[in-house]
Amino acid sequence: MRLNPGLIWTIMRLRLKRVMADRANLIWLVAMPLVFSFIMGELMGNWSSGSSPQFTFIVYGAANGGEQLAEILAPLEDHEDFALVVRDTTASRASIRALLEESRVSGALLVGDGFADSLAAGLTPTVDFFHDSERGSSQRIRGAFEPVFAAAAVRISAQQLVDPAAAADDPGKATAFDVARYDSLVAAPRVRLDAEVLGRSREANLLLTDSRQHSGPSYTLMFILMFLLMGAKDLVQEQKQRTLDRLRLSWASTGDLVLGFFLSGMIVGAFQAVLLLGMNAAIFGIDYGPSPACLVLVMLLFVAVSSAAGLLLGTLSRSGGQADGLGMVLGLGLPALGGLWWPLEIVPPFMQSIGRALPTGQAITIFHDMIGRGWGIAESAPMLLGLTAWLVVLLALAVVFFRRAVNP
Amino acid sequence: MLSGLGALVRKDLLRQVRDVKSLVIYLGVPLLLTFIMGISFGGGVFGGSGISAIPMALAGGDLPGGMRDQLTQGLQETGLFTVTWTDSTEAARLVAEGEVRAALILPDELMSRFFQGDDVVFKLWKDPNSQVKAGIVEAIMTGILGQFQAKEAAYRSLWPDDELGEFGELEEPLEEIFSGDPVRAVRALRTDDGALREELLLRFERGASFGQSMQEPALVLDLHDRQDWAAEDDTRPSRNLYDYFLPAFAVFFMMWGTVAIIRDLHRERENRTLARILTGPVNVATVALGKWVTAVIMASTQLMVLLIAGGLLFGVRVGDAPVALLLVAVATAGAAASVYLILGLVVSTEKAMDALTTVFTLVFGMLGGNFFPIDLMPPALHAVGRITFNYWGNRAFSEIITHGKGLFDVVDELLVLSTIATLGLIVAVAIFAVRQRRGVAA
Repeated sequence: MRLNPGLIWTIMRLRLKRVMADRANLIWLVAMPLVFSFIMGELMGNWSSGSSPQFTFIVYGAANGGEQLAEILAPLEDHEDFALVVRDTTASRASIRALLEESRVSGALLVGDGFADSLAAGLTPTVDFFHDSERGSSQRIRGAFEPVFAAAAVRISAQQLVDPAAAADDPGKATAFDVARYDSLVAAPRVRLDAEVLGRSREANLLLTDSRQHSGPSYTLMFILMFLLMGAKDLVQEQKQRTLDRLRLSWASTGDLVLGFFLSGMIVGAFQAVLLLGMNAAIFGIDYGPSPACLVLVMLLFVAVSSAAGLLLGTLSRSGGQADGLGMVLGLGLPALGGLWWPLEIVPPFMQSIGRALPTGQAITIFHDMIGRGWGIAESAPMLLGLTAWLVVLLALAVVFFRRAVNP
Repeated sequence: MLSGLGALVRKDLLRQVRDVKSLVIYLGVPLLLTFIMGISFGGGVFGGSGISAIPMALAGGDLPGGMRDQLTQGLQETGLFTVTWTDSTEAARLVAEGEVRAALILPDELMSRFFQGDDVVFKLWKDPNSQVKAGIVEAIMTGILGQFQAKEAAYRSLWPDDELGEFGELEEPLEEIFSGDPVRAVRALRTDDGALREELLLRFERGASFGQSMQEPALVLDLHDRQDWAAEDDTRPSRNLYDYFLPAFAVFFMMWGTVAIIRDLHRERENRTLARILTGPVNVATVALGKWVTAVIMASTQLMVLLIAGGLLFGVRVGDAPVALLLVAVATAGAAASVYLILGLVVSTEKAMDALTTVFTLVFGMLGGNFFPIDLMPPALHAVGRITFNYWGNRAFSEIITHGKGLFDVVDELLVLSTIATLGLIVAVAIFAVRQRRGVAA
């Protein structure tokens, strides 16, 4: 089959002109992906810690708690995940519940009247902790507060074993409780857990610990796919207007037309990819890992798969409306299933398998591996091969159906 | 003033109903997305909900076989973990390549180090791509160790002389206990001259006394989980995730459907239909009201059809307060129609309207809680979300469907939506009138 590079170039140029001429396309090409990356990154929050505290842990009735409460709360001051707000005044349970329900605080502690006196009298005072088990910020506050509270409770229980008079005869009693020793042992326990992420440097903030490291690449991939699928309508329009027939009757082969449309999609997608990845890096500081070659390869393959999918959709659709509808179904369904909206690790295993079999799942997995593990082409080869397989299948189908469409 | 309104609405409704492809999109896509979300997070017919067991590796240590089996069994019986024992090199590979989410590396000579009072450092290696599951492993391990650390610190602060590893000639036989031969240690105690036996008994007694005191907490933390008190308040607490996803997507796609109806205003202006209509016995207020009524009828029908379909397909519980549901659907549709009518009238072309409403719908969809439950958002975004009309629609649907509330419980939401609808319609008519005075209405 002889190809006509001049004609292919003309088709590509025309499509690019058409895309660039419509300023509304800029919304889909650039603006919306960035808005989505930003807002979804904010919504998902920082998966690790270290950002400035956005959440509030409020304590009511601190005046009732005395020094004991101040000691309990001391380790939580200047916490990196939340701001501790201590109020001497008390509040009703209903008003605290309302604060949580309205997301004005993420956790609250209510210290009742007589807390310090009860403690001094050897009674067992109760404090009320309000939280929301379905909110990440609330879980973090609970995760930070419970250990310090438990440590305080253990200390107070242990101190009740202090009875210097009885200690000589009763081995179960102690002559004293060394508070300084307790604090130092709790602060530096001999039995401890050292947690470490096996990946790229945490200090350099290059890990997949900031949700934008997920949302940036995710929405880049999603909007490239969506834009190229929505472009299928143009192909349907050209069929309807008989532009393709006229081209065929003159001097264009099916190969020229397929390549022209496929490559023009690739150029639009590549342009979008460069723009979005660059802006995500510049604005949100996203790092794509140590292998630029792998980054280029995965983007080229994904753009090619998306362009081939758009071409196939355009040849299979009988009307612009049908192309739009199917484009929207695929443009939203494939990202949702492939883990572009949320990490695949949180869905059931069978959904993970489906996700990783799809081009969206393969591409985002490669991104995660580049960012988190620092992988390159060799390590990501299975997923890159998966994308290649999708490209071959979609392009072959597109050629077959395109040929049928223009040679009925 | 409203003469011809019925005819305009009939014409627009007919046009909308005949556009079968659009109807399929606006009804089919939200159902499809709800299905995907449901099986991803809700389990449903494909399996249980919640996060599946976390694959983790255990390596190192010198635990006797029995303790090792008990540890494995204990971790697996929680249902949270699937455990693989391996060596540390293989564990590092498994974590680095994402085959397990975390690996707990036990230190060499764990038992003897522990009982000799030496430092015991467990290492937890986490998969860099597993923020959620590796985070759960770390939280659980930290919680378990935290309790132990506090208790050990308390014991050592009460009886600082009771250091571990000071058992002289008993030390070696005691180590045998942890390698599976307790008989030697017991025999060594019998042959001991009595001092060590006394010391050991003393420590057992202190240990027992300490254990008892730890069982009686000096402070009690009473946990109040919002999910529990919400469940107590609910007449029918819901845990079906389809109950959230379906109304959220239904409202989101209702917004797109409303845009499509209002967009007709520009099409009619561009092909001069609007100019011809305005030569008849109608004014711009009637035309605007006609579009608004059409949009409200179509959008509220779309919402109700989706909710009923959700009830039939996914078991979304829509049947308890049908009147409240209908009123919320109409009020949400009314607010949407007014807002999009304003947006449609502040721009002069269909293309400009498409651009503006696309950005608007996506941003409002995110901020109003159509992609993500608004309760999970940071406080600042939560506050911003309240300015979106869809937030109030989502909230009202959530109250009725998820929490089983009735009409009187969503009065606030209905009032906000009705106010947006009424004021928005007045503003839209005013803008249309101004456009007509300037000669750009049609």
